[in-house]
Amino acid sequence: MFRLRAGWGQTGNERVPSDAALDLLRNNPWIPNGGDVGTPTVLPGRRLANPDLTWETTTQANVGFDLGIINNKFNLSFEYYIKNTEDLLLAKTVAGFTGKQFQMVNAGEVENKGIDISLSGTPVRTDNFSWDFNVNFSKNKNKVLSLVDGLDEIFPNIRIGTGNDLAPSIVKVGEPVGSFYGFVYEGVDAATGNAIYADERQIIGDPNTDYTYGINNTISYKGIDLNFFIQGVQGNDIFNATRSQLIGRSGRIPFGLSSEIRNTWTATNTSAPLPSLNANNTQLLSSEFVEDGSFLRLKNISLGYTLKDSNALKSIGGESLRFYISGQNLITLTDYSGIDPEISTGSGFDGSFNDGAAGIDTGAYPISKTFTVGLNFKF
Amino acid sequence: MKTKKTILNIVSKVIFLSFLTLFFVKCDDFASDTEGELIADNIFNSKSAVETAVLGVYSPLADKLFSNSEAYTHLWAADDRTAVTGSNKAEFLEYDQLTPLNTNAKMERTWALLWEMVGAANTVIDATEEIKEVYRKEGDEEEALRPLGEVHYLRAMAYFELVRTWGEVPLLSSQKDVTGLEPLASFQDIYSLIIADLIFAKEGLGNNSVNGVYRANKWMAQSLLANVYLTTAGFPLKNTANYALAAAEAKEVMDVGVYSLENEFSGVMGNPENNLGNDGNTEAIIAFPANKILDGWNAGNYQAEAIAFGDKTVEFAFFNNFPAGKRKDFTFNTPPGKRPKYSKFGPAWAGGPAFDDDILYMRYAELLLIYAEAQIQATGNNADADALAALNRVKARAGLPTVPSATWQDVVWEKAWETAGEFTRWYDIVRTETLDEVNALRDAKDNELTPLGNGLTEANPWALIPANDVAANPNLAK
Repeated sequence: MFRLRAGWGQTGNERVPSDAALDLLRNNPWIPNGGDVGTPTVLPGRRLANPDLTWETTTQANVGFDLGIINNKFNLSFEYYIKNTEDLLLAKTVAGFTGKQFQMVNAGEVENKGIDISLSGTPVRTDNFSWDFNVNFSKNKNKVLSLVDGLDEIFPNIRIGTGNDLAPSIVKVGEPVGSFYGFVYEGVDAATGNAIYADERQIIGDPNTDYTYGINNTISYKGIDLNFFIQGVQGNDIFNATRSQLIGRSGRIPFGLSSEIRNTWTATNTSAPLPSLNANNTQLLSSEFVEDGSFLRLKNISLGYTLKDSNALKSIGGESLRFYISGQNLITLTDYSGIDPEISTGSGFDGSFNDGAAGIDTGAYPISKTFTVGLNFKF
Repeated sequence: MKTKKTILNIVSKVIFLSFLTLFFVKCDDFASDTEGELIADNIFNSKSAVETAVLGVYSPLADKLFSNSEAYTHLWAADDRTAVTGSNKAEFLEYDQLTPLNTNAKMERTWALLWEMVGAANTVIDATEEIKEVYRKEGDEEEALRPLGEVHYLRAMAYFELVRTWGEVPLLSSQKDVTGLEPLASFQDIYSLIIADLIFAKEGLGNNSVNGVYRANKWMAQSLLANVYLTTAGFPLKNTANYALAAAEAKEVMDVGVYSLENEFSGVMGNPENNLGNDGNTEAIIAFPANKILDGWNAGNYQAEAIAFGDKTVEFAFFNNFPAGKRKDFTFNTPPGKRPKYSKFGPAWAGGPAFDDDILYMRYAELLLIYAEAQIQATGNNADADALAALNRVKARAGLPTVPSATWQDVVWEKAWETAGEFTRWYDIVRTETLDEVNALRDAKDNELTPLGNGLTEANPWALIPANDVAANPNLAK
């Protein structure tokens, strides 16, 4: 079997609120007589109006094929796509002296190019033994082609952590959307204990993956079945804002909680990896907190045994009995120092949607390891 | 049965089609919404609407603008403040050590909040004619001068904070046609607007606050104006003729007799019983209520918590030179073997009593010292009887001997002790150009813990305009 596919389509972006263009008033209760009960007030909102705001349009073209190999024992599926997003909607940070914080803008044009490949099949199938598998691989390249008003860069208004600090994200021509921008951390000055940074701020990381993959296998032998699913993500950076809090650099936790702090620069420990607690030049948005977020995770594994056509079962009216044990997220191979490389992302200020906030670890609850023991009884 | 089903079917189809129609209508609506018709227009259509908008201009004051731990880290450049070294204190230590960075997130928030106040005030002031019209229709046009006076007062306060902290900043006196690319304005122009606003306010406002004890009245505007005149008589403008104006404004407030010194410091601060809202203070001129209505870390007064967190502590030299007596005992406690800590702001920890305390922006004691300094400078007489009477009232309350004469420097030091850890010390050092002199007094332990750099100097003591604003508007680069 061989099937050729091609598609073309245009879509909008439904995650943008319909009032995004408007300068709305906000209520910020105040207490003109003190006390606990606020009196409603009205003052200008923090979003600058944008009378020219228009829809975002994504034009996608894709070609692909499905191929059955060896009497359709295996199936290969391949797809190549180009997605071109015009008038990309973003919340752009504006100068604070205007009294505003951000404006929804049609920021520019972004291109996504990529491939998806999947191969599935059943290499062995006999009466007693069978093996099914599915392997998939995806690669996407994301690039900002141009920005409005001939701008070279836009800082999206994304706040992270409890301190309402700006995220390191930037939207810059020629770079992937949401690249990290900040100071390049060059270590500790052995003489003073201050941090050393390169002079100019620059791109310090990319939260987009080089590729992702998944491997799923099911093997059964007589009544025994084994299934495991491996998930992998490669080449993305994570901005570990949680670590900056744990070592006491940001946030309102009065003191850092991590034991790492014991190994900071002091006059007698001048080769320590962390700047002095006395350092007065540390930067939150620096490459010190950018880490490789690649991981390989055993997402799911389960082992089961099914009893069928047994006289003992039939005598109590049963048809089949399956006993299984399974575990989720049991093994994760990663160099990422945070709790979980499968992090969730920051959100826009005032809950406004923002595309540029990927890859920022703000301490979301990690994905748990789960063990399950089960019994299925059919009758 | 069958008919019922068919009817239901038809009904659901109709509903589905209506949804489709609604959806398309919604698209059309959205398109026309973007034509620039702003919801923020036409809000001043009744007295109560005007009142709500005036309260809105006050509201950024509550967003932790003046509650210490969260904002205003440039005040750490003065000798009455330092932070414990270590942990998350870099934003304080930058300024404490005179090596600030333009990426200081706390200062960026402070900057944004003050400009929110300016923007909110301008929005009301832009509608001055509409507001007068509303008052004319509902009674008396003259009455409109009271809410307008409050808003001019608040705009002056925001600009006074901006210009004393960051130096030359843009000057927006209207929110119409703001381009975001405005240039820096001169000190002269900024202070002219501040003074004009405060004169407008003191003329329009009545003797009593209306609909809220924390709202502006004539005396608040006049006290602030006294401080503005004193400040413009010093660095950088040095309009020395303004010393006499400062003294005159302060004297008027003193003579009216509305305010008086509390007999004991415990009646001034450190306890919610002293709050204006509890009618508990004869000394508070300008105070902000602790904003307990917000959630979590945005609620309340964190002045005492800032001390417990180690954000705000006192430099050794300042503490050592502080004249002994009951004022020192009230201001600090000195746990044995540990560095002294401020105790005047009350006991710490969220939910504790100090959490509910007013934030005192200007007290009568400060006004007396503004008067004493301005009067000595204006008359050139170190034994001016009125000036010394004012100074000696503050000294006597502190349990110190009164003095027959004093230099203006003596008065500034008296203010340092009296308002230690409050909001004036850094600005006094800047306007009197005494940064080098003050730093020369530093204790060896101060220099060891927080050695000084030269990012801020006597000639250039201004906080750095946030990097994001400079990036968005290159005209702000200094």
